[in-house]
Amino acid sequence: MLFNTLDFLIFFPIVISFVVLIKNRKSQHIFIILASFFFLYYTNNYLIVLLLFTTLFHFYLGREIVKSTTKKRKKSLFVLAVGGSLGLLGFFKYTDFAIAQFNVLGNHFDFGSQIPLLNLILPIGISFYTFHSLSYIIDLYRGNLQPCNSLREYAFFVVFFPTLVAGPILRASQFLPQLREKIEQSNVTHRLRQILITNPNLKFGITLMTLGFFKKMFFSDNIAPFVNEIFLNPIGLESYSIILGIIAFAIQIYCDFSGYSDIAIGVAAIFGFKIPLNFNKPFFASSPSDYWTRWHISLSTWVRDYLYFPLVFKNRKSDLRIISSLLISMILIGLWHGSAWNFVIWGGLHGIYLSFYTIIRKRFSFLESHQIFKKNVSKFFSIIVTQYFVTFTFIAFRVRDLDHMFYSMKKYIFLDFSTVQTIEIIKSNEFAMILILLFISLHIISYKQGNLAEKISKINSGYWMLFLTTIFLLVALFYVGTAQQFIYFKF
Amino acid sequence: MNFRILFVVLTSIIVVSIIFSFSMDLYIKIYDSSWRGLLHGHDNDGKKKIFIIGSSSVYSINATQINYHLTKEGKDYEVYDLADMSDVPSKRLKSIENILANKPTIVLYGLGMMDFPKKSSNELTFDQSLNYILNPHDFFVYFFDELTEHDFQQQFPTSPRDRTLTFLKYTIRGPDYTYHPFIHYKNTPINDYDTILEIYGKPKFERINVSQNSKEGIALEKIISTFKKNNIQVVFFTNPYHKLVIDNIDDSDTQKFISMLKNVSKEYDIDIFFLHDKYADLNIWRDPFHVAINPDASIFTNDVQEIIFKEIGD
Repeated sequence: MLFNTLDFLIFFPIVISFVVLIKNRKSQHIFIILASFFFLYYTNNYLIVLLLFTTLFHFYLGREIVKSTTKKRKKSLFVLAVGGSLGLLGFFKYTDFAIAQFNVLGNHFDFGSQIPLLNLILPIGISFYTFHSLSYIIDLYRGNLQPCNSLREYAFFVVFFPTLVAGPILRASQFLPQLREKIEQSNVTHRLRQILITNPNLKFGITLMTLGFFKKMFFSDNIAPFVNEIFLNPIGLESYSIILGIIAFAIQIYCDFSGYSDIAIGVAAIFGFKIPLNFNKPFFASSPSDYWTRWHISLSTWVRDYLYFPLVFKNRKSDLRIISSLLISMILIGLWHGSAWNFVIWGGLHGIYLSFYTIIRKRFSFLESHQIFKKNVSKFFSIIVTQYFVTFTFIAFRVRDLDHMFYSMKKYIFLDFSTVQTIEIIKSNEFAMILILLFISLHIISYKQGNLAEKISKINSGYWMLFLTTIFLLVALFYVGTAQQFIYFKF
Repeated sequence: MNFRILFVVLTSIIVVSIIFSFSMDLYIKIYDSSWRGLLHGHDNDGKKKIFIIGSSSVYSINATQINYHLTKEGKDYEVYDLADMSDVPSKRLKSIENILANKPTIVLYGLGMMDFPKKSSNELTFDQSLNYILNPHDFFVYFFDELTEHDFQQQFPTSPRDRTLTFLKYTIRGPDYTYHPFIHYKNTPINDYDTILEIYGKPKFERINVSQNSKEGIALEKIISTFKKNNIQVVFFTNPYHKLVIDNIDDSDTQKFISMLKNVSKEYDIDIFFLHDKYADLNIWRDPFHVAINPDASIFTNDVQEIIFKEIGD
C-alpha cells in the first residue's frame, strides 16, 4: 500500500480510530500487528509468508541465543539466524543477478549452455524488515539488548507498518524501550505500554506527514518527468544538460525518500513512537563522512555499527584495513539498493571518497584545527566540493545502462561549455526549473530554521490550518494524476 | 485526543476540496468559454454533422482528411472526431447530453473489447469473491470504483498539474492562441513490432464482460436507445488492435464481443464494421492500442472515410 494513495488515506484513519477505541493494551498491540500484516498483504499478497517466517524465526532463535549456556552454541545459533535472513534476502534479491553474471562468464569461456533466470519477484520491504530483524539478533548476541518477552512485542517491532516497506530501518535497541512501559523517566519495565494518541504527537505527526506528502507529490513527482527526459538517452547531450539533470535527480530522490521517511516518522509519532531522522539536510554536507551522517541515516548507521566497526575494529591503525573496510561497507550499501552493477559503482565511489577523506584526515589532522577551515567561506567551499562529488555518484545511481552512464560521467567531469541544447531544455521544462529553485530556497530556509516540522507543529491552530491548507492545495493542484511509486519501494 | 486538531485538519481538507473542484475547469474555460458545448458557435455552414466517438483508439482518425474528401465530393456533411481518453460506454453516457445538444445526423461509435472489463460487472461471482479475499486491492477497486484512481483518471484525463499549469500560463502570460488544451493533433512515430514489444511488453488482459447486465453493457444500451429516440443514425465499428493484442486476448472473449455487437446491431438495426484485426499485421502502429497519427498510417482513416461515404449514400 502506497502512502500517497486513497487506499492509505482510508486505511490510516480506520487504524487510528480503532486504536483510540480499543482500551485494552494487549488488544491494541494485536490490532496494530494485524493491521501491519494487512498493510503488507495488500500489495505483497502471498509473499507475506516471508514476513511471518522472518518474525517467528528470529523471535525463537533470539530466545535460544540468550538461553545458550555455551559460547559455541550461541555462536552457531547466531550464524543460523544471520545466515537464514541474509540467505532469504540474497535468494530473492540477488539470485538472478548472480545467474546473469555467471552466464556472462560462461559466454566468455564458451561453456556452451546458459542457466535460465528464475525471474523472482522481489518481496516488498524485504530489505527493510530483514535489517530490522538482524539488528535485534546482533544486539542480543552482543548482549546489548534484553530479549523480547513475548512474540507480540517482537512482532510489533518487526512489522510496525509505517516503517515496514521502505524504512527508516528500525533498531531494536531504539524501538523496543519505547514499547515498554516506563515507571519513571528512565526506568523501563517489561510490561508493554498502552498506545495513547496525545495532542502534541498528533499535531507533530500530521505536520510531518504533510511535509512528506509535499516533498513527494509536489516536488519529486513533478521533477521526475524532466529527469526521465534527460536520462532516457543522454548520449549527445551537453555537459550542462547532464549536470542539470543529475541535480534534478538528486532533488527528486531526496524528496521521494525523505518524503516517505517523513510520512513514516509522522505516522509513528502519532502512535507515540519516536523514530530517528533518516535525512538531515544532506545537501549541506561538507565532507563525505558528514554526508553519510545526513543521508539515509538509518542505513548508514546500521552498516557502520554492524559491519564497518567489526571489520575495522581489529586493526584500526592500518590504512589498508580502513580502506578495505570502507570499500566493503559502501559496496554492500550499494548492493543493498539493488542487484545491478550501477549500484556497485555508486557504492564503490562513495567508498573511495570516504577512504580518501579518512586517510587525509588521519595524515593531516592538524589541518582541522587550522583557522582557515573554521571560516564560513571555507565551509561554503567544502559544501560545494562535497556536493560536486556526491552529485557525481548519483549518475551511477540513476543511469543503469553502462554506455549512458560513462557518457554522462565524462560530460560531468569534462565540461564542453556548450549551452545551445541546455537553453532549449530549460525553456521546455520551465516548471521543473522553478521547482528546483524553489526547493533550493526552501532547503536553505529549513537548514537555517532547524527542525521545521517541530516548529510548525507548535504554532497556533489558525496558522497551522493555513499551513495545512496551503500545502494540501499545492499537492492537489499539482497532482500528476496517478500515484507514483516511491523509488525505495524497489529496494 | 483533542478534537480541535481533527477539526482543523477536516476544515483544511474541505477548503482545499472546494477550491480544487472549482479550479479544475478553469483551464478549459479560459480557452473556450463554451467548452461544454464545444461546437456551439462553430460555423459549419449548416452542414449535417457526423460525430466519431470512442476511446483514444479512434483519436488517430483524421477528420480533416475526411472533411476534405466530403467537400470535394460535394457532400453536405462535416465530421468531428470526439475521441476521449479512456472512454467507455458508462463514461460516454455521462456526456450524452452534449452530443444530443449538437444534433448530429450520424454517430460512428468505435467500440473495443477493453471497453467491457470484467470488473465493471454488478454481479459478484464466487471466483471474484475469492479473488477479492486474496487481493484486497482489487476488492477496494471493486467497491470504491467511483473513488479510485481509475475513475479519477477517467474524469480528469488531463492531470490536475497540467490544468493548473495551463491556467497559470494564461494568467501570467496572457492567451496563447496557438495552444488549445484539446487540439494538438501532432504526428506520432510508427513503431515496428519489436520496438512495440520492447517498449510496451506483451499486453495483459483481464477477461471481459459483455453481458447485458454488466455496467458497460447497460450503458451501451442506454446510449443506443437515446440516439435512436433522437433519430440519430448509429454506426458501429470495432477499434483496431495490434497483433500483440490480438494474439494475447482470449479467443472466447473476442467471440463474445463480436456476438454481443451483432445482437445489439440486429436489435437496433445498426450497421457494423469489424476492424479490430484488420490492421494487426501492418506497420502502422504507435503502440498496441493506437494507430499512429501519421500520413503512412492513413489506412484506418481511409476505411472510416469509406464507411462514412457508404452510410451517407455514395
